[in-house]
Amino acid sequence: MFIDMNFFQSNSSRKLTGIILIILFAGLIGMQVATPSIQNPAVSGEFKAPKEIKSIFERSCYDCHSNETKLQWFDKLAPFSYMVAADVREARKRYNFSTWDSISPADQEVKLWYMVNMIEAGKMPLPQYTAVHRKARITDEELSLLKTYVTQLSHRNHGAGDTAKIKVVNKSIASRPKSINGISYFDDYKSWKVIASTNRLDNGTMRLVYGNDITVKAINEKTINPWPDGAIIVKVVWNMQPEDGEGTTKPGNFNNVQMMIKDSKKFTDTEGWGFARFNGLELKPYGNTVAFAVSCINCHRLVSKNGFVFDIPTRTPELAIK
Amino acid sequence: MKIKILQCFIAHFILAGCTHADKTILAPEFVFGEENLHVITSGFNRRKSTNFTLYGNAIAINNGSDSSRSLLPGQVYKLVTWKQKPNPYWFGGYINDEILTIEILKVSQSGNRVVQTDYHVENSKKEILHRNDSEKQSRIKFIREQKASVFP
Repeated sequence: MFIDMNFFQSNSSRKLTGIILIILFAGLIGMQVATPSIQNPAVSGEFKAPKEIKSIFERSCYDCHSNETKLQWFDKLAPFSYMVAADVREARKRYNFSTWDSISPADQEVKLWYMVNMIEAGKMPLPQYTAVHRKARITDEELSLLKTYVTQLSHRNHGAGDTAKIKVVNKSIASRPKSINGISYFDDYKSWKVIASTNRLDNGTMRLVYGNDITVKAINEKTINPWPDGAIIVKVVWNMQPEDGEGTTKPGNFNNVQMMIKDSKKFTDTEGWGFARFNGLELKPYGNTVAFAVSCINCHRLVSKNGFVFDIPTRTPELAIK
Repeated sequence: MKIKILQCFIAHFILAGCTHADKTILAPEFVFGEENLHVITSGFNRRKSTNFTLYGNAIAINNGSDSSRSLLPGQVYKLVTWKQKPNPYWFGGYINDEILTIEILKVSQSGNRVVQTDYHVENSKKEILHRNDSEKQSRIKFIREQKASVFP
């Protein structure tokens, strides 16, 4: 009886395994049949750069960020084909080397620096992509070439500095400009502490970054991931004047003011941060739809370990040991 | 072949979860700020790898648009200079590092109504650094020549 029972159990579990395998197989076949196909629309405004630069992008980025996607046989196999199709769709939405001319030269410059920084941080090309497309990997030498390329590009665009006469506010802003997501401009930050002072080669600007009491307390207590609700960071951005004979660079015209407001319940789509930017002395709110903040957080995700904030006071651990 | 595909599949998910090791730690001691002092202007010097911010009290702030600041009794200026380094999180960006010096200029009035300046330099530990008279005069001139940044 004991032997019979065992025989019965083993027989039925074999049957069950068989049924599961058949279902899985049928599912896979179904997925293959319905697998998404990736179209390559015509190239309308191709990216132009020196050959050695363009070839790096072509080899490492074009499969997703252009209309010249070249799929390998395994990219077309379900379930991978579904992931590949989703990645390509998202990648082309963020920027597309085949429609490069459709964005302004200023936006092109911003995106090129973003790419270089994503590559340096190891976020791009996607590690899951390079794991199976080894030729897409970017070497340190190639990254150096890209860094030199963007640095020279920005030097041409911003190297001369802001020589325009510095405009001053000749009347106070009557109403507080409001961003489309409901964040209004305020100037309380002028009495807050400056948490960082920065300048950037990539857009020829210099900045002071202010933090409210909650922000400064979070830095002091080293509790910035996540930042507490109520933390507010305000960045005031000026164009750089040309360097003087002593090597000093001073702020030129006021460019914009940017705000980050932490409210984990309100700004759930953007990691709890509400973003706003007010351009020029007239403080024109940036962004035509609330979706503008998605591009803000996409870039700020590079520093997820800092609670999505770039400009914080830091030191290297070696200095701390001294 | 099967093993290769399996390896790729595993690599897919392991690598997707990888993050870069943090190279830095928070340094709250780099933040300068005193009640009653507000920013007048800022700047940086790429040759010296420094950046600076000039702060002032209300009397100093309200006297900011002249080509050279008038010295008025009660003015307090603090010029903070930091070491500057590449931003560890953004290639192409630079950010302040540790505080190198704090230069303090106080303007007062003596009994016979003569305006006096008191200037000295401290490091971040509040230790006073020696400067000769000519260096002091040159730095007072530098502070007086700083035009206020335009704020909205």
